[in-house]
Amino acid sequence: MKFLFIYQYLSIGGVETIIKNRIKFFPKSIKIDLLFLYKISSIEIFEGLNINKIYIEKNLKKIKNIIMENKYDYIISIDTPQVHEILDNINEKTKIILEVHTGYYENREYIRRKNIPKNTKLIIVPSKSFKNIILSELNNYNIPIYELPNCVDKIFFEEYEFKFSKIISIPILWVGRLDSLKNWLEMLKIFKKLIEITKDINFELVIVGGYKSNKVDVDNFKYLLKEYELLDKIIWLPYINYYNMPKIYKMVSYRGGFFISTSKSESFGMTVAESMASKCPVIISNIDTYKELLDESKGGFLYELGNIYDAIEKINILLNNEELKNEKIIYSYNKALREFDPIKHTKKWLNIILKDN
Amino acid sequence: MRNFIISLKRKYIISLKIIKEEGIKTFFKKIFMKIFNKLITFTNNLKFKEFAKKTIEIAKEKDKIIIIISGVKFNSYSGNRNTNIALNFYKRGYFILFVYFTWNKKEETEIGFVNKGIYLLPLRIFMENIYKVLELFYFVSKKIIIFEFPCKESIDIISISKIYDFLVIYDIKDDWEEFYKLKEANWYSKNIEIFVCKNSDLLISVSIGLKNKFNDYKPFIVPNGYDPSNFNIETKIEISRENLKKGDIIIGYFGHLTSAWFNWDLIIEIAEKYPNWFFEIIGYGMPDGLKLPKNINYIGKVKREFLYYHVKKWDVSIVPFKKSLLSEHSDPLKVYEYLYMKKPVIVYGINHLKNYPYVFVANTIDEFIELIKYSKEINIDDDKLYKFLNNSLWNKRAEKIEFLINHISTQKNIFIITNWRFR
Repeated sequence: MKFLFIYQYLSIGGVETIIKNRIKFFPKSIKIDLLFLYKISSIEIFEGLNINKIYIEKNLKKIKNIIMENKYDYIISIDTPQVHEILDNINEKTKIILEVHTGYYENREYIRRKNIPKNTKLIIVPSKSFKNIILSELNNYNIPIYELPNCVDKIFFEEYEFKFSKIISIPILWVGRLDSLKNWLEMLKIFKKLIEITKDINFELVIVGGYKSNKVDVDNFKYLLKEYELLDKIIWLPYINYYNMPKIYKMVSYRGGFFISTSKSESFGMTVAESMASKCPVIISNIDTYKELLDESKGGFLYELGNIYDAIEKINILLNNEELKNEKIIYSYNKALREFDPIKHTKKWLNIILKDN
Repeated sequence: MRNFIISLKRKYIISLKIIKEEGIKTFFKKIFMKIFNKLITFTNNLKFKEFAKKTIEIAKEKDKIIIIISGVKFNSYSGNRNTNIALNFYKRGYFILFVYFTWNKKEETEIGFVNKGIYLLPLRIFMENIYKVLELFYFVSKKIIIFEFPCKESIDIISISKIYDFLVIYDIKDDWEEFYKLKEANWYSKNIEIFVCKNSDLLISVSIGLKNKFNDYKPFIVPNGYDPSNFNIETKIEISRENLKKGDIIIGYFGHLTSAWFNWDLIIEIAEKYPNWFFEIIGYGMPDGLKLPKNINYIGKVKREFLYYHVKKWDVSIVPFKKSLLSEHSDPLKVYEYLYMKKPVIVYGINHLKNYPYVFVANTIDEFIELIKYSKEINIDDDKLYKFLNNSLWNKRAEKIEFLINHISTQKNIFIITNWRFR
């Protein structure tokens, strides 16, 4: 069987991570090609995997040739409507699977316009709450939609030993693109207020992200770091090698810190899932997807989006209730083991797409 | 067209305002400066294109690059550490982009290749082209950026260089905060310096005092050094002491004379007390209006290669600094250079130097006087001295920095919040 995965960007984002995790556990009989329209970072994330070929091509004519020549059994297009016209005109033997992962409303315009290739067998989305959004955006369009939670790489479940002599500050970890959807401004506001109120604890805000962000957002971010007088409390890592991410989550947890997400919308919440697998406590906004991930608040703390005082209250509860914190960490970790395991995920994914074949 | 007319009208109104308020002379002066600056920008852009073309060839060949963000120019009288780090990493096969700060465009005189592997670029032009410049080195395997001072541009440079996979080093060579308190570094911001510390992959400091100050970030000590090729001491110089002012002891100093650290009161008091001791003071930055006794001879600036002509006739050398954190945290280059020229060193105000051979630290003025008398008579043991000096060569310092770079480069970024700070 020949599979082609198509995605817009080759970088180190959530979608590339999911593709990588699946490929790791595919049967060897499946031949895999990847096609990206734009290359933003190196191909390090796919190194050492059983991949036939990686194409970087934005020219639609050339993409058409690649697709025609290779006669794929399955083409999985992930939020890449640019190629839908090509997919509309290919051999019926090739089955099209659409995956919708983008939490950005404007990037789902193709869903609302029902720009769906005619051979599309089904759509896969990563969560129940996101499925509801897609269903309403498709507005009675007749196509099966399956929900399948994303998986988390095995390396996040592994233990990592640290040897330190002293801990000087409590880290608060925020991971994501610097844009309005990820809501970094709210993060800065929460952090600013937190250090104003909590004088007796030394906090450090670790920001991982900015690599793929818009220059205007990055400039605004830098401006506000100065304006809010946070420069001396920030560790900013615009780019992190994917394989180092588990160490960051575990390190934050080890030092008594936590992961925070201020997102306004998510299709799944990859970084939250990674935190859960890494036993890093989480405080996240109360959007539907996050409620689903944490089974309401069994696996972590939810704060009311936009309410920085609620976020601070949850931070104080987390820092002052070791038992409660550990309870939630264990709940989250077990859920991650159960539901985000890459082997189980890949099996389920294959079952869905090969169903009624 | 409409926009053009509006812009012309605006310029006309501004011109009239300048002529009316500041006079026709100022108006023409401003016009001239504007044209001059545009010409400079144009020339620099041309130079940048040339830079890009040549740089790609060299950097590809060397496959390792260091960008040095320096507070002073490459060919500056001060800032010897920055230049020596550049030269010694060049010798170790690195391509060096030496980016230096200037107060204004007129000072941007050093642009271009010093030799086949060191390129000089003003900070302003670097910042204007930072994405383009860093992208030039996309293919280079080993990429390092060293901050020699925590400039306000550090936030941009660090964040962008991390995107391009550079390893960031902060080389703490001075206590900038203390300089700032003494109104000697008005550009300084403590918050920016902490940001640089928190976000660097590796911190190095020149002294134990600075290491202790920044201990939360676990700096490694890499002291200053010296380079024998800077001094022409192989040449036989015969200087008759009779031609000099008479004195029992000839005492010498070279270096910065800023009142922020140079203890003028101490020197003047001793000179007045011992009129037959002769002081030779070489350097720059002497405070205005200072009245010196006759037995203190201020020479002014002397090029490094001619220093030995003066030092040779000295009996002892001195580092008479004021007692302060600024002094205590420094590691004066001159100490290594005095020792290389086989002169004992009497120090005031920098306690940690007592561990160096033939360096004597005084705590009071009387001790300072006694140590001058004592050290005039001592015999220097060459073996002991050269053992120390051999380990203090700039190439040994570069070797140590490179060792640290190799040690952490596999853990770039992750190191910041994992291992090194909490060892």
